[in-house]
Amino acid sequence: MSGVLLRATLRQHWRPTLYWSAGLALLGLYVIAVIPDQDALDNYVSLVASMPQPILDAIGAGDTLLLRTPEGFIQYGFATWAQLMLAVYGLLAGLNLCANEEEAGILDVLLSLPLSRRRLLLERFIAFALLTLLITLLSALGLVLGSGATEFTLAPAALFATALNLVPGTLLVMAFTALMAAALRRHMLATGIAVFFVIGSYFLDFIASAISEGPLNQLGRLSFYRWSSDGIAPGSFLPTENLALLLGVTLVLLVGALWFFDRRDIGL
Amino acid sequence: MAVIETRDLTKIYGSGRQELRALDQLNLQVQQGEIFGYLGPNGAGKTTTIRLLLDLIRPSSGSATVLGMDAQAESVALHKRVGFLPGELALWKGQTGAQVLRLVADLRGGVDLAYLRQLTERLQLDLNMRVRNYSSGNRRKLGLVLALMNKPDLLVLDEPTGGLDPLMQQIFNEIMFETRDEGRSVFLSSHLLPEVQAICDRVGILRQGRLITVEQVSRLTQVGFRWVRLQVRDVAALPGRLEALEGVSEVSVEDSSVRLRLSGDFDPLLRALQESYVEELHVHEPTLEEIFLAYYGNGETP
Repeated sequence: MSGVLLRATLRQHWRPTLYWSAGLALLGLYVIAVIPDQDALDNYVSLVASMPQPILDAIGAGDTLLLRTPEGFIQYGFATWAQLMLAVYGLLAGLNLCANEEEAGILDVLLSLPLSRRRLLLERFIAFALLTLLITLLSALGLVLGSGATEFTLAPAALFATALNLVPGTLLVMAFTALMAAALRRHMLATGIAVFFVIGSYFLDFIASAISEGPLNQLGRLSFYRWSSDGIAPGSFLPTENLALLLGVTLVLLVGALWFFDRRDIGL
Repeated sequence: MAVIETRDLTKIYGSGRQELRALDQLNLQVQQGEIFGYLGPNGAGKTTTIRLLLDLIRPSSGSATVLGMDAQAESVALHKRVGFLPGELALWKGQTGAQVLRLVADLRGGVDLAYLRQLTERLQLDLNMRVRNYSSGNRRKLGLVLALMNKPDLLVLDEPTGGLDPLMQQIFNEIMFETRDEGRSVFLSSHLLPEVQAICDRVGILRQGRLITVEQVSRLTQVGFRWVRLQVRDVAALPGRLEALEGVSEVSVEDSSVRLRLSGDFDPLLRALQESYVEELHVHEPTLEEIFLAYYGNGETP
C-alpha cells in the first residue's frame, strides 16, 4: 500500500472535516454552557427528572444521580447526540469510499490506473477513519475549552475519552454503508438501506432502553448505539467488550465490502 | 506480436428475458505498432469491450490478454503500461487540472515531467482551472494528457476527439502517429468515421455485440463500389440507359450532371457513354461512413 490515495483523500476532505469538527465542537460548547455551575446542573436535572422513567431510560438519562455529575451530564448531553451526528458522517463517508465516485464515473479513471480495488477501498477507509478520529479530537477540544468557563474541574483526558468513544460506532456505520454499496451497486438503494440502518438502530436502542428488562430490552443489543454507550463510566473509555464487538463487526463488514467490490462489475 | 488478443470474449447482462448479450464471442487481435479503429453504433459493444480489456467489468465467458498479460488476473501490472481515456470522462470537479495530474502521476509511481509539460503545451491546456470550469473540449484534453502522460505501450481511447476543435484534432492525429512511430499501439473506438479513416491502420466493425469484419482501412475504402458523377450535354436520355447497366444503381440527375453508384468494372458504363458528349467525369471512393452504412444496411459485406 503506497498511501497515495490515502493522502489524496485526506487532502480532498480536510475542509468538510473541519466543518464537522466545528459543528461537534459547538455542540460540546453548548452542552457545557448549559451547566456553568452545580446549581444550574441540579435545576436542569430536576426538570428532566419530571419525565416518566421509561422516557428517561430511552433518552439515556435514566440514572439521575449520574446525571447530576458534570461527566454524566456530558455523556448524556453530548455523546448521545454526537454519536447520532457522527453516524450520519459515517454514512456519508461510507458512500465516499467508492459509491459516489462509481456513480459519477470517476472510478473508471481510477481503476484504469495501477491500483487494485482492494487497495482503493482500504486506503480510503483508513483515510476516513483518520478523519473521524480528527473530528472527535477537535470536538473534544470544544468540550475542553467550554469546561474552562464553568466552575467544574473536568479532566481533559476524561473529555477526550468521551469524544473518542464515538469513533468505533462511526467506523461501523462507515463499513456497513461500504458493504451495502459494494454488494448492491445501486447507489440509491445502498444509501436507503444505510439510512434505515442508522435511524433504525437509533430507534431500536431508544425503544429497547425504555423497557427495563425482558426480551425487548435485549433486542437493543442489536443496535450499535447500545454498544457505543452502554456500561461506560462517564469520562472513561469504552469497555473492552464493547470496543472489541464494535471493531470486530466493523472488520467483518469491511471484509465483506472488499469481497463484493473485488468481484463485481464497476459502474453499471 | 498481438498487444490485444481476445478469445470468445462474451459479456451478458441480466438473465432470462432480461438477458442482453452485449458482446458475443469476440475474437480480435490488435498488433503492436498499429492504430486500430473500433467502429459501431451506440450499443454495439465497443465500450463493453474496452471495459472488459481494462478489467472494469468481468467477462461472462472467454478471455482477453493485453500486452501479453491476462486482463483480469494481472490487471494492476497491466495498467502500468496502458493509458485510458473513457468516453465520458468524469473527474473530481473541485480539483484543478494540475491537482488531478499530480494524483494520477503519483498513482502511476511518477511520470516524465518534461514530457507532461510538453503535452500540456501542445494541447494548450490550462492546468490552473478547476475541472468544473473546463469546457468539454478542455476536459477532453485533460483526459488525453492523463492517458498519454506515462508514455503507455497501449493507448485505449473511447471516442477520443469529441469536443476537440479541428486544430486540436490535427494535433491529436499527430500525437497518434508519433505513438505508432515509436512502436506503441492505439486502440480507439469512434463513430467519427473520417477520423478513423484519417489515422487508423485497421478497423474492426462491430454490430450488436458481434465483430462483423476486421480490415485494413485502405482496403476497406477500395472494395465494393464507387460514386461516379458525369457532366453530359444530353442528360435527359441518359438515366434510363444507365439504370439498365450491370453494376449501376442509385442513378440521380441534378441539372446537367448524373450521379450513380458503380459496382464492378467501368467498361459497361464507358461503352454506354459512347454516344454522349461527356464534359466531366469524377470518380469518388466511398467514404468509410458509406461503407459502414452498407455493412449495416444488409448485415453483409458490400
